[in-house]
Amino acid sequence: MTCIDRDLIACPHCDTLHRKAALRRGEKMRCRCCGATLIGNHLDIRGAFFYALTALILFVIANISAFITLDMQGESSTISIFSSVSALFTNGLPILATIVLLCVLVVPLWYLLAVVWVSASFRFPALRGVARRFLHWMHAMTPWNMLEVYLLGVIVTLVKIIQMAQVTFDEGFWSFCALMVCSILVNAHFDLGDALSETCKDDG
Amino acid sequence: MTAEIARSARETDKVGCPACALVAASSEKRCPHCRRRLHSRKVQSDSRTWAYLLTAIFLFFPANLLPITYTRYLIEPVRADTIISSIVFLWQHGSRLIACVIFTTSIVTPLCKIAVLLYLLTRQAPRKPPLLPTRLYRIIHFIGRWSMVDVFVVALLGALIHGRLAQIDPGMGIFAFAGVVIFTMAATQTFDIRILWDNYRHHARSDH
Repeated sequence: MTCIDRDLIACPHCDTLHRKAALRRGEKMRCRCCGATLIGNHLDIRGAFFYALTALILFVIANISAFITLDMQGESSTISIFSSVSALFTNGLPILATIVLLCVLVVPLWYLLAVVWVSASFRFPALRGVARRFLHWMHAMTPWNMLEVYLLGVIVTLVKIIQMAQVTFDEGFWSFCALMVCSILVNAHFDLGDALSETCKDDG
Repeated sequence: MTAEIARSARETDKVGCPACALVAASSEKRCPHCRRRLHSRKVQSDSRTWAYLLTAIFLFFPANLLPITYTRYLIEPVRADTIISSIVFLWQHGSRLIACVIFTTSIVTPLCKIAVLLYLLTRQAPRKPPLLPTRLYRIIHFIGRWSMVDVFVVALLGALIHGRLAQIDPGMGIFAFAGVVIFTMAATQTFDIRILWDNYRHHARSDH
């Protein structure tokens, strides 16, 4: 590991080499050539940990409790996110079910777990080895985390069926909305690249 | 002029880890910090991006021509909807705002992604700093996943409306459309924007 210069950073978009600058609070480091953000400098490990933990609890609630109830001329049906996926499997639509399962359940859950783990590893260095294995996976996963896209999909669906049936929102829906807020807060307090260079620094 | 062109990691025999931003010597196979496999440039990015993109373009036609949903409601005859006709239906009978949202995410966004990727793949030797392509690339990277909305809508409808009085069944169109979204996202991920900067630097240096 002799040939590593921890002061250097390469721009992810144009590969220009930079020397890391000392940043004050609220400052960002941008690439001189293409303007890409190199260091976002909004890392707050403590905040990220608690918001991610809250988001995880809400995630479980949103998935197991009733999401919405449809009442169609006396014929009523209640679904949760999880049951809507399994309904797709039983209705003979495994491809759609797999897409929803991956983008709305597996990847977001995995992402939140990883954020919790990584932030915890700053306090407990024993977790750090696994944190690193998590991390380079996390980088490739982020575009496939589609929680907020799913929420937009739910809204569009409701507009489409509002004339056919009576819709009631249940606790699952509200916890999903709260989960959305938490996940935005997690993103505001956590930055993957920054978190990683932080763990880098400690190793020295 | 030459002095103004900053050196890239590749030119100094280094490689930046895309996940943890560590700069290592280009002889390293894996990042010493996070164990990610290191490549100075994404492997075969050009041909893989072309493959994903062409698949997406081929799928774009069935996605828009075939029905995405079959709706059976009460005693009305079964209605087949394509993406366009469901947008028109929403515009007339539902909310215009939502119709605009769906139009943006399902028609405009995939077309933009395909157009931008074609532009990036065919203009690989820029003479000026490729600032516009880099910006476009960042935009399609950001908006890519939002086209998935229509897939989720059909998945929810298929799961929710499945009873005696009404039933909504997904058609082949939505599978093709999901393919368009997934393959354009994959194409965006495999494309390496740094190659444009490499070519620009090479050109600028040799010009001098």
